[in-house]
Amino acid sequence: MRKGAVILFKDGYCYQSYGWSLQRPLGKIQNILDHLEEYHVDEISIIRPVKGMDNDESFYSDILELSKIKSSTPLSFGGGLYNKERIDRVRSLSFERLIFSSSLLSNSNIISYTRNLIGKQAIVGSIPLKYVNSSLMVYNSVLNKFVSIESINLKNISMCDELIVTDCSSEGVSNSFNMNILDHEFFNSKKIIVSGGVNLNKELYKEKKIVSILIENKVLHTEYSLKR
Amino acid sequence: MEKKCIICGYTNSHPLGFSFKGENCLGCITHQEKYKLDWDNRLVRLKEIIKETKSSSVYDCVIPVLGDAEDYYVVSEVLKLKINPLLVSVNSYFLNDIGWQNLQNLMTYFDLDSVVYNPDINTYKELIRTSLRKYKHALLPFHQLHTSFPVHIAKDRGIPLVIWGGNQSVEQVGKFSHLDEVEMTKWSRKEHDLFNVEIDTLIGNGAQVNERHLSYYNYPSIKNLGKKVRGIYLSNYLKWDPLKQNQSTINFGFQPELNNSTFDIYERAGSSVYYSIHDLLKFERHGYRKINDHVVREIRHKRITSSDGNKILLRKSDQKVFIKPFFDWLGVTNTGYQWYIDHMLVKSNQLVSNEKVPIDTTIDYLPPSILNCLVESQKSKEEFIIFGKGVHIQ
Repeated sequence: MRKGAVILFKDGYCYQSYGWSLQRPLGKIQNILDHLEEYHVDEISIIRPVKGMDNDESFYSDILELSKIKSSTPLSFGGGLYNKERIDRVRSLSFERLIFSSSLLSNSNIISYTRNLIGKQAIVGSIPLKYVNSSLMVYNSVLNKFVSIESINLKNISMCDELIVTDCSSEGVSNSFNMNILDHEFFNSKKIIVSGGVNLNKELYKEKKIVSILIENKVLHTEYSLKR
Repeated sequence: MEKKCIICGYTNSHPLGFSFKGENCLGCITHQEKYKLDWDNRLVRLKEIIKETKSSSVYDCVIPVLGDAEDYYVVSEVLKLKINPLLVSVNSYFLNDIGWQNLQNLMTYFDLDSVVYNPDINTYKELIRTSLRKYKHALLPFHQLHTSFPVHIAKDRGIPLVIWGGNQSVEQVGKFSHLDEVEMTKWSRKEHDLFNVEIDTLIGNGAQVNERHLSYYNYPSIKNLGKKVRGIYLSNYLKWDPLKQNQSTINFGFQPELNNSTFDIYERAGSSVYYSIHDLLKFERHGYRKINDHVVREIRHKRITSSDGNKILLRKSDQKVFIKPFFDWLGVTNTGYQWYIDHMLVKSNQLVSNEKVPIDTTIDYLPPSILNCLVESQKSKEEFIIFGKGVHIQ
C-alpha cells in the first residue's frame, strides 16, 4: 500500500482543511514538496479546493505557479478540470495523473476526452463524502454543496483507474476515517485511495481494496511523520 | 486584494500566511481555543510526551534561549515538570548590557548547565550583509543558527527533546490548532523562521565565507534526526499569554527594557537591533511594525479595544529609529550606510533618525489593563556588546 499526501493549493498558496469547512494557511508549495520528498511519501495529490468559486484567471494563474515546481515524487492534480482548454494546458505539466471530482457527477464527456488523451491509468476520481442524517452524501464542487451519492455517474466512474474516497467530516483529525463509507457498493470493484483522517495502520485497510492512503494536514506537523 | 480582520486588524499580507472564515481571521478563531480548551488536560498531555521521550541522557531536554523574558518563563515551567534541561544559546552579537545581564542571570538564577555558541563573527557579518542586500532582513543568519544549533546539540548529545516557547504561526495567524500539537520541523523552520530562505542563498555575490563555518547554520538531516529528537512548543500545552507571563519573570530577576517602538518592555528586551533596524526592515518588507503584533495580541487577550489599539498605533507607528550604530557594527562605510537608506529603505527612510532618539517614557496613551502588566524598566547604556557577563547592571 502506498502512502501519499494531499496538498490544497489555491491562489498560489497552500492550505490545510479541517472538517471540509475551515481552511488554515500552510505555506509555499515548493518548500512543502521538498519536505514531503524527504519524508519519502510515495505520491502527492495537489488539489485546488475551488468549491464553486473558480474562474479562468485563478485557474491559469495557479497553473503558471505549478509549472515552476520541482519534484521527483509522482504528482497528481485536480480542481477545476472542467473543459478541454484546461485539460490541454495541464497536460503539458509534469503531473502523472489528473483528478476529477464534480465531473463524476455530470454527463460531461471531459473524463472520456482526457482518458483518450492520456490513458485510463492516469485518471483518478475523487469522491468527497460525509454522512448527513445517516445518508451518505457526495460533495459537488460546482454547486458547492453535498448531494445524494446516487448523483454519481457510473459511466464516469468506470473510466477512472482509482478512486480517492475522502471522509470530509474527519478531515484534519488523526485516526478518524469512517470505514463504513467504504461499504457502499460503488467501492466494491474499484481500487481505492482513502483520505480524510486516515490511520497509518495498514492492518485496518486489509479487507478493502485499498491501494493507497493520502494524509492531509498531519504529514507536516511532526518530523518524519510517516515513520512515527 | 487586501482583506482585514474586523477583530484584530491583521491583513492577509501577513508573512506567516493568512486565511479567514467569514470576517474573522484564523488567528482570532484559534485564539478562542485558549478559553475553550481544558488546560489541565493539555498539561497531562505534555507530561505524557516528557515520559514518552525520557532517555538515559543526563539532560531530559534542550531549551534554546536568548535571555528573553519568554525564556525565563519556559525554563520556570519546565523545571516544574521535574526534568533537567540544558540551556543552549547562540551569541547574536546584538545584545546590549541589559541583554547580557538577562542571559547570564537566567543561567545563574536557575543554576542550570548551558552551552553558548559564538559563531565566527566575520562569516556572520558577511551573511548579514548579503541578507540585508538580498532580503532586507538583518536577523536571518541569527535565525538560521538559533533554530538549528540547539537541535544539533540535542542530536549530538542524545537529548530526546527540544522545548521551544510560543509557536508564532499558531499565536499570530492560527495556522494550526493547539490540538494539532505541531512540532518544530525542518519544514516549519524554513517556512516560519527563515521565510523560505536557506543559508546557501546568503553566500555568493562576492561573499567572503569559509564553508566550514557554516555547518551549524544548516538544520541536521531529518533522516539522522528521525525519531531521536522531537521539538515541541510549550504554547500548545500551557495557556499562552505573553505579556502576563513575561511580567511574572521579574520575580526571577529578569530586567525589562524601555524602547520607543512599543509599550512591551519584555519581548526581546536587551537586543540592540530588534526595535531598530529589524523593526524598520519589517515595515519595509511587510508594511507594518512590531507594535502591530503587540496591539493585535492585546486585542485578542481583551486587555485593549480596537479603539485603544488604534490610539497606540497612532502614537508608536511613526517613531523614528537610529540605525547608524548597527551599520557601524557591521563595518559599513558612511557612504554605504547612506546608499542603503536611499536605495533599500524605499518605504521606511522617513523613519530613520540621524541621531540617537531619546526614550519616550510617557505612558498616558496606555489603558490601565496594559499599565497593570508593566513595571519599572531601564534604558540600555551600551549596545552591541560582543560578549558580556552582565554583572554591572544595578
